Amino acid sequence: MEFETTRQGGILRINVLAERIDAACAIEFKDRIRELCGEEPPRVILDMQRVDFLDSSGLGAVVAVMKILGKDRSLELAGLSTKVSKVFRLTRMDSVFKIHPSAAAVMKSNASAA
Amino acid sequence: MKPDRAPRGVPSRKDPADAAGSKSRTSDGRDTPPPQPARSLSRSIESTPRDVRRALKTISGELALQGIGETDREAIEVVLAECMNNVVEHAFGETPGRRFDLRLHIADDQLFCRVEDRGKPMPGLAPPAGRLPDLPVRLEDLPEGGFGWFLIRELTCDLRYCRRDDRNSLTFQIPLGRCD
Repeated sequence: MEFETTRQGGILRINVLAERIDAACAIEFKDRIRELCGEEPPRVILDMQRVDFLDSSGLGAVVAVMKILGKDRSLELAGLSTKVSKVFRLTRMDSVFKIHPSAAAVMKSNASAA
Repeated sequence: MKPDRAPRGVPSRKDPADAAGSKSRTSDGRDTPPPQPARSLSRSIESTPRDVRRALKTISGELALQGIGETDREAIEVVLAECMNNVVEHAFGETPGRRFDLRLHIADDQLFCRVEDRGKPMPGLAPPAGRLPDLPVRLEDLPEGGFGWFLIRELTCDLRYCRRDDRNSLTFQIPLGRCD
């Protein structure tokens, strides 16, 4: 699984380059993201604009990453396709995560605030 | 309570009978009828998550050719992914080299689905209820599983499970014509 990361101040943006986060790769996804998150920074933005499909295993892995980050750090999501948002909405996990329309916009506003 | 899942309007799809009416010519000049789209689809799939992934991609493509709209295909992909992954993970206990069968039949406003395998029976001989905890919950209490059956039950109707002759059979319908 491939990812691209950008660090800017207190934010780490992880761009998921895989098309699918599903049962075939959920464990790898969780382990790799945990590695990439490391011990800091406080905000992690998971950029899912390339992700076309997410199943319940993928959703479980995203929730697991949020729990690993703990109370003092946050996992935020960005760039969800309609198909992926539907899974978050149906399971009401859209109320658990902060979801941004675009990761680029978050980075831009963070840069201008700095 | 399960909300009423009556379809909201049926999309216009090409009738296979109409498609068969037009003819094309082969290079040697003979008339041949164009391929007739199948309204039923049958697949034998190997018991690995990667085979499930491949099957989902091809099925979605075939349903698109049948004129099934994108919103319907999204729901179908989610439901079939969960059902097939359950077979791979639970019925076969992640043992590769086994096979299971998927049959789909497109009717006017429903997709009839059947998933059959010769793996272990469902615990208690019944499909799980698929309930999620009431939110909000504490971070450490957030569920990391149980979403699959919740999604299946949300997006299907008339879900039935039966175990007969060492065979699991799960049947359900997915309403077509969603326009959300």
